[in-house]
Amino acid sequence: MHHCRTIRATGWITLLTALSAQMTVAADSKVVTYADDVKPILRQYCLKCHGNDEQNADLNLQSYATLMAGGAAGMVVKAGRPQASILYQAITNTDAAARMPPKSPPLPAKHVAIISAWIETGLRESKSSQALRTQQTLTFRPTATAAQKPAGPPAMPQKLPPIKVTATRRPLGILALATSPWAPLAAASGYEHIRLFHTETEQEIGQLPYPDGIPHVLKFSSNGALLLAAGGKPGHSGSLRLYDVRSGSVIGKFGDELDTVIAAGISPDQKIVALGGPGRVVKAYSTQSGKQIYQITRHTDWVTAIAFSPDGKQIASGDRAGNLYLSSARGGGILLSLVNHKAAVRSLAWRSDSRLLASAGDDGRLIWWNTQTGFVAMQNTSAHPPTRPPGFAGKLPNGVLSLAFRRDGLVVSTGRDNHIRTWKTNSQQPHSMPLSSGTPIQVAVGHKGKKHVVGDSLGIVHFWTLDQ
Amino acid sequence: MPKPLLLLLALALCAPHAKAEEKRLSFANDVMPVFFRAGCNQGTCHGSARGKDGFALSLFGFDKRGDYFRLTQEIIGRRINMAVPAQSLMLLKATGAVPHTGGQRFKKQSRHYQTLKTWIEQGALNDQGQVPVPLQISMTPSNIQFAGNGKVKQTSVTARYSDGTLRDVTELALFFSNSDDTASIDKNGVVTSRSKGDIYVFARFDRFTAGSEVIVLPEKTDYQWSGVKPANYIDERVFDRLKQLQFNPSAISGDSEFVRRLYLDLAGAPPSVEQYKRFVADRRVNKRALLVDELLKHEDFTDLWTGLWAESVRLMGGGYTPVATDVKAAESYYQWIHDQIQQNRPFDEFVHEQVTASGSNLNRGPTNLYTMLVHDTRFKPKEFAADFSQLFLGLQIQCAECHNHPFDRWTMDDYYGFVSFFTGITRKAGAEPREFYIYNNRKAAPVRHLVDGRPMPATVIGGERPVPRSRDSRIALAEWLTAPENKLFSRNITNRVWAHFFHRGLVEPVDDMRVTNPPTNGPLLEALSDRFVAAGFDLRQLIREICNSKTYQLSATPNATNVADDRQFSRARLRRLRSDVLLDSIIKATDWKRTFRDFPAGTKAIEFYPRTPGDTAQPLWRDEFLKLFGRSSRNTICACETKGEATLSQTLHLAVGDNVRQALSAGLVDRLLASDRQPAEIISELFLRCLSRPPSAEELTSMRELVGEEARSNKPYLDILWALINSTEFMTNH
Repeated sequence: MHHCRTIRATGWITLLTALSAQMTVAADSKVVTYADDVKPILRQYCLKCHGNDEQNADLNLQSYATLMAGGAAGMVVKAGRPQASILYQAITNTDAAARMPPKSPPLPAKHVAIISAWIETGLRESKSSQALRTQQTLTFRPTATAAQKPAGPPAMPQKLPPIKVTATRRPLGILALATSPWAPLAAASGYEHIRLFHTETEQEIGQLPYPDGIPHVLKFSSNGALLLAAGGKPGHSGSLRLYDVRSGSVIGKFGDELDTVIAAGISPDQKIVALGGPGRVVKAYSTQSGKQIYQITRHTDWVTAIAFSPDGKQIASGDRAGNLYLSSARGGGILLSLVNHKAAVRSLAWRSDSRLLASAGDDGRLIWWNTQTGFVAMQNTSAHPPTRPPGFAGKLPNGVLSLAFRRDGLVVSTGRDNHIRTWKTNSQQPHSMPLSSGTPIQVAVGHKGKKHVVGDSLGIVHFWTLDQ
Repeated sequence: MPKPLLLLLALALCAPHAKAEEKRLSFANDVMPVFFRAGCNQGTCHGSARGKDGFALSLFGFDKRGDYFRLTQEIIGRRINMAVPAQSLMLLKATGAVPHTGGQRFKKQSRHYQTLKTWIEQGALNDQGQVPVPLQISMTPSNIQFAGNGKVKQTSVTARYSDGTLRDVTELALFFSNSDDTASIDKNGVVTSRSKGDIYVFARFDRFTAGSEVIVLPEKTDYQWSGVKPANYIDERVFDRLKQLQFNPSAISGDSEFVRRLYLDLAGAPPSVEQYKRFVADRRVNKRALLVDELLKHEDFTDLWTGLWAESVRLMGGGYTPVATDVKAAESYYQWIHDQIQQNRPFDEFVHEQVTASGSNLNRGPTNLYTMLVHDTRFKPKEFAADFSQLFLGLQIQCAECHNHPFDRWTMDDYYGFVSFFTGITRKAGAEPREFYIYNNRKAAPVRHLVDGRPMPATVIGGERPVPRSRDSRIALAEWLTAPENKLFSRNITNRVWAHFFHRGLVEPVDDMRVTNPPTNGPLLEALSDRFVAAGFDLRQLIREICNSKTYQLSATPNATNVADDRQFSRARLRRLRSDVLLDSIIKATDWKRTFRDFPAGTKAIEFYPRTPGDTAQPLWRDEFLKLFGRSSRNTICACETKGEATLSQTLHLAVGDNVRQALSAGLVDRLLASDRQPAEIISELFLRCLSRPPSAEELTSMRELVGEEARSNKPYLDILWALINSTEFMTNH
């Protein structure tokens, strides 16, 4: 039989159909490969110091090609000879001071065995070239009108397949929240999934699986057709995915971080996605090629907020030290440095005309920036003032956690004082309302500008209609 | 199954579970101790001022409120995962499940892991209201004695809390030994003996440290106590200790050795030939005690101890008036100290008057404690408080400005409360530019706490409530400081006095007294301190008791048992002379008329202090010899400013330098030659002047040969005098 022959003759694997490839994998499950078996181990123990962000001893183990290229000491693996391979020697050294990873117990025997077997069996990159699936295959070509209001009905999820949601002790706090600009749709983070809400009925209408871990960022594309979700597992991995809102299918996956992605954005024309986090670097990827097209390396601390301007020309990025930069969305060159925040920037939002950028952070400041000049147009230095417990004289955390621009130009914000407030550009506060449940981590505004959605630390999504 | 049985079974199954759920873990008392034990909040890790890898904890947990915020609120959902507690980054990092610069701190099966996970499962809540705080810890056993190496002993640590409860915290404490070579202690508190010696092992928990003494002796020994009888309570405590550690004291020093030692220690120079001969010829049995009494009454004693005290309060005179340390102020302070020492003013009163002094710096000597201790154009309360406690209490509390003291029990509350005693100290401009009126402005605001900005009213170190504000707070401070029950004070003073006579404090260094730096003979320090207090803080009486002890009078020659002893006082130590005592010794031995800069003729080196036309806020010596031989620059309060190390420049200076050349040419040899003395007599005189002993027969023969035919030329005698001054015997007290 044709299939059976190919199973024995591995040289033919490239000719296989998708179905037969799966069968091959199933039958030949003992094959150890870099992609499936070795990289997860390297990720857990090695990539922090020998990865894309840091290359101690000039060694980068994060891709097959760089691993094979070796480091300062030359090649680190010799096909078929584990004992002669530096990689294997380093993890099995009996001298704790010389063993890798440093200051840690030795790798578990099962992991050492996998690496040994991988070297022994000839350093295979993946099961077959067919199975060589990188992010690049998950790309798409956005339409020319992506940045505009959709011509037809705005995207709403259609018959999403039911998913299995991991049982948790408590609901995950709403670490990320987004509303569709054109449809009555909100997305909120859940543990290994994304929760979708109808902003009119205020009901949860479905879930999307998020196997990467915890979503820390959710954003809709300008036309509401795509949902960006970025996040990962803290201290372990981070990446960004794009979902098609209608079908719920994943149409793109980008990034290979060593820690959770904390900040991300998608350009209005959907051609660029950008992400950042504890790696301190903003990385921008082309959605068409899947390749990284530029990076912004000026940040001196964790990247905590990213937002593309509505006109698609600029990208704003803020970090945990209070640095805030405007860069060219096309090439990543720094245009302006916006200097005023004294502590972490937590949230960024652009007004629809791209002339004003609002930023807020842990210093309690809410700042409107003139994006033409880079100067502060307006600011409130204690937007969410904490209440002082009696007898307490010291400094209290005084943070703005989230903000959003309404279509009418008002800014809505939430903060550590457990309030939701709206702001005019003359710093007047038309609304200010206390919230009684958990800390309001996230705020977003519904597509008609009336419905305010707040996500709190207890995992509850609140809907408010504020009087004008 | 019958229903009651089913019910019973259900109960039995539920009961332990329900019980485990009941106990709500406390952030302060259950969670924070795990960070402490696992090392998370130590200075090289997340306890560093800037944190580590993006996450900061307060050093050893002094800011629990801030730590709670950073852990749970700073980046919500990251470090603590309320949805899936086991996926909390804090746990993944600590167990090494994800890359962690600090490696694996504990295992998933450990009790520490369970504690943290349970706390998160319970909601990662902060403590509500008052929770019990630890008040004290103790380590048991407090004394461990090993016979032989490689023996082990488990210690345990108990903490007493403010609600009266006791808790075994051995699992949460950190252990260390102050000499792993003698006995080591592992992370579970097990002590292992390694080699002969006496050391301490310590346990730390929360902000407390407790110690246990460990003595390691050989498994087999033929040691026998020599049977020497103690002369007083000092000998009793020293000999007890020596017996315990299997040392025998050296023999009692001979008369020559003793008389030189006593003159150097009480009068600041060796005896003259006449003083020497009178003592040696004395046949009375108690002649040593009589000499002690005589020297204590002598003006030289007053000058020596005035000089020592003036140095420790950084007494200097300067011409730069804004620093308020004018030469006239310095002179008035010096004279006041001199008068107090001369009158043998009880030491508590001596200190009390300085601490509470107000008035003109030029006319009221003791007010200059507030101008001299910190030389600056402004009075600086924090610097002053740190120097004050280091000088009068031997405590270095300045660590507690930024975090609780890591090696003692002092907290930031102690530090800021203490600083507030000095926030009102004011220097008001006087009638002329050199003059300032020192007083305490009682309306001055107290300092604020670094962590939470609370105003911290003046409180004594270790005190529970602030002192009343109805009068000058310095009065309360002085009363507390010099109170008989304040052992911090009396121990510090007696330890400093002891160090003068033995070149080593019972606590060393003398200005770093802390739990983790215990005395080498605790009972002795207690006894000295108690006697000092009981005798009405009588400095001369304390010194009398020290000098009359056999311990002080032991020879420097070791015996077979005490060669290794360097801190139990089983023999005298060779002590290099202080720079000023050395210079005075050269002056006295050679009859040199040396002058000192800006001082009248006849001034002794010990009486000399820096006077400058410029600013006193800088290192000052104003005498090259004293600088070269390690006199304190008086630039800081640290006892380490006085240096005892030998240097090559010192050797060269004594060999070919100006001072010795001038001393030799001061005319002593010529005068001796002019008298009709024989060469042997002259040689003997030079030996007695420099070394307080006659030359040995062998020395005399070789010196006589050196003089030879040129018996009337001064050249060979100058060479002999030069050689004597350059000898180690001259430069040391032994």
